Amino acid sequence: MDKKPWFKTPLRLLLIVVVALLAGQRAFAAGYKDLVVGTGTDASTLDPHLCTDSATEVINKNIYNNLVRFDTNMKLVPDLATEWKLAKDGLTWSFKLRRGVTFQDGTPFNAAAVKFNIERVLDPRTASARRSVLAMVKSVEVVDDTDVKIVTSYPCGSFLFQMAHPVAAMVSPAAVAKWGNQKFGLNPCGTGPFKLVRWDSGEKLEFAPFEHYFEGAPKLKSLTYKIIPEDSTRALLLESGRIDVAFRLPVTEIQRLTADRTLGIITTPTIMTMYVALNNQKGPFKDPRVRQALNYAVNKASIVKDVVDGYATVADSVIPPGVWGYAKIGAYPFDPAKARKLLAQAGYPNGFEFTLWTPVGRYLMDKQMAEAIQAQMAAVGVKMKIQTWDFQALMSEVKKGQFDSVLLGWSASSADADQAMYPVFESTQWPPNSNRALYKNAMVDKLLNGARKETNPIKRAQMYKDAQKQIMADAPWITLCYPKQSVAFRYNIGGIEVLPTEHVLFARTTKR
Amino acid sequence: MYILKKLALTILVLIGAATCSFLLLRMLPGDPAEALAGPQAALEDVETVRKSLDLDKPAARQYLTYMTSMARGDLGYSYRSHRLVVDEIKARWPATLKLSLASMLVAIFCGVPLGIHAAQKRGRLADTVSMVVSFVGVSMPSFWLGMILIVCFSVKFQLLPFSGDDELLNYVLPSLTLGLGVAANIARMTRASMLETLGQDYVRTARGKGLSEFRVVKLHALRNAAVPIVTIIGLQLGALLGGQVVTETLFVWPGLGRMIVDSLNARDYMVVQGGILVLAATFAILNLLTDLLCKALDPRIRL
Repeated sequence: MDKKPWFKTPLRLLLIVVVALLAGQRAFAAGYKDLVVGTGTDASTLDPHLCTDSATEVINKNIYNNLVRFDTNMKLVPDLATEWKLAKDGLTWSFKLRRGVTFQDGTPFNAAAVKFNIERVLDPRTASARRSVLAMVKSVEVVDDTDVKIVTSYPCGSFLFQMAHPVAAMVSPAAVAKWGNQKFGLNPCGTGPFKLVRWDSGEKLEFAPFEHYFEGAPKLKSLTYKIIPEDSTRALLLESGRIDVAFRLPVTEIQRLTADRTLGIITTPTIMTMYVALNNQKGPFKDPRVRQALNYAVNKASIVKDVVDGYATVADSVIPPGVWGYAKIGAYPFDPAKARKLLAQAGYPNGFEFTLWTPVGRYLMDKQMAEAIQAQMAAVGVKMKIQTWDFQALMSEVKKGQFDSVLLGWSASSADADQAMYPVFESTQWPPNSNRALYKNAMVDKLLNGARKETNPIKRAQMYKDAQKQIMADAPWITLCYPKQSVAFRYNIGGIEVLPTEHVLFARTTKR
Repeated sequence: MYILKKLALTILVLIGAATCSFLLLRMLPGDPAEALAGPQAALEDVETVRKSLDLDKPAARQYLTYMTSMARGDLGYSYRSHRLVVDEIKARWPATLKLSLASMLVAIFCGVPLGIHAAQKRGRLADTVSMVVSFVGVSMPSFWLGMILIVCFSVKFQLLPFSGDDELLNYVLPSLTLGLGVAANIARMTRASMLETLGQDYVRTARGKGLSEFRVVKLHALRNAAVPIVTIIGLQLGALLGGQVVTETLFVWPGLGRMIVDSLNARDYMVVQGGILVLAATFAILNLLTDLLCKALDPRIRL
């Protein structure tokens, strides 16, 4: 008899129903997946008004929005403001705000919130280390809910760029009131695509998509930044598929990962210039011919090709193409014979001796670059010693202004020539400020100060072009290169937005 | 009485450790306000930051404030995240402690048998091999060993995970990395101590009584050889707690060592001071426990 037991059929039915339900649930969850990003350092503070390090800015950019932002081509595009206009007085900026935007705590984003945020950055009690970025703002006036006027104390040519700076991010006034200035950074709240769920110090930061994000909730179940300090470990975890995206990998790892066909790599320019600041007020470097000679002596193309394996381009001005106001001036060609001739003219036919200070691991292949420069200097008879430093110690020493030369990088987070040039070339900015070459040229001073207060973009661009030309001729730096950045990810990840400001946005990222 | 005396001494040690770390940090080149403001900050912004962190006050004043709040159990807050140092330590300390204990288990289970075996086969091939193995163990840099283990077990054969501290399996590779070096130390000490006791009269007597070799070695000799072994285990455990930065970095372990080094690089003084204080306290307590354990093992010891 092959009659089936009576219970078998209903049980089967039930089983089918359960399996179907489970499968359905899985299918639902499978639509949105968890994205895990490997980064080298923990976040410092998630309060964008207090944050100063780019590793944390990268994370903050996914929590907050500004009034305007950069796209991947470094063009200013609407963010929380949909349109803006400068009044004839050159001082009053009117912004029209996006309607219906809410912060992650449910409170509305409006003109009052804009006023609150700018005033918070300017308030000395906030103790923002980026206060000076917005210091040109004189007052903020709420016109109505979606209209706000910002008045500057002088006609500020770079105003819009400063508004795209990470410190001009919009935080929830209600959340600041709730947590206070001290604790807000641990309980962040913005208008951005991701909201913080959990932050385990030194381990990970976990985010959930913000379902009311004004450009639509991200298509991910969660976003987790895992802190993986060791570069090779980060690369191994990406290869084995335990993380989906890896930031800030060294050139050696990127080379290896390029061969892996399960990975994709986005390589883009940054807005940094790497340079050797020669102390223009010391010894042989007082003579511009000596500084020019050293620029001729360094083979930048070889450094880009052999030291950083193409992960940089030769700098043909003191500011990079991603910065507004950039003008192509042309790099000093590699010409050791000319270098020797200039040195002889300056009274150093047998060369001289100097020391280069360099950090280790702070900038792209910094120490290796220093070593390459050392060999090239020797070829023209200049004996260069290298002294390596812990970065914080180096910065403290540099502020005293007593060094011969120092290898550094400079990038202006506002991506405007003002911040990219004024602090490093204007003569009131000598150490302890950032003009580390102790460079002084009255004409450049005039141009930089003039351009700062010029709101006509055509005139302003011309002034910066003239300044770049003059600076390249004076050669206060050995201008080296513009480093690139790489973000590596698994093949099933799409829609990562990498900006030259080194910000990586996940609002439109998907995982198959 | 002894414990009270020792506890009083511990407090002195902690005050000393706090003072030393306070002074050493301030002798270090680099400035917390500058580090926090970043290399591109305007000078007036750096000064605002300095003021907000009370770093503009004279060092003596800062020291007094630090010591008095420490006495109240307040270790200050991180300059960077504004998180309380106490919370930071609470988050990191268990990971370090767990990894140290796991590594010590590995070390004891490898080191003690190896040492006993070597002592029993003194002068023979087994002894030489054991000691060469332990010599290699001592001299192997943990960074290198860790890398080899990761490449073999995680990347090539994908048998074991190597990052994070959330699963038991995650402990295997880092505790082997740390434990094998310590095992080598323990093996050498066990061998030396066992050699001494194995030559004693009572061991001969025990053998003469016709006891099995196992009983002779494990019950009579090992028990008497235990004091130096326990002492070195106590010392090594202290060293493990403070010395696993490299392993923590390699295995993505959110421990105290990494916290201290990261904070040092950022000149986040309060976190460094708090971390060192906790390590000093643990070290002192471990010493006390080791002493007590030795006393229990050998009642002749007078504390």
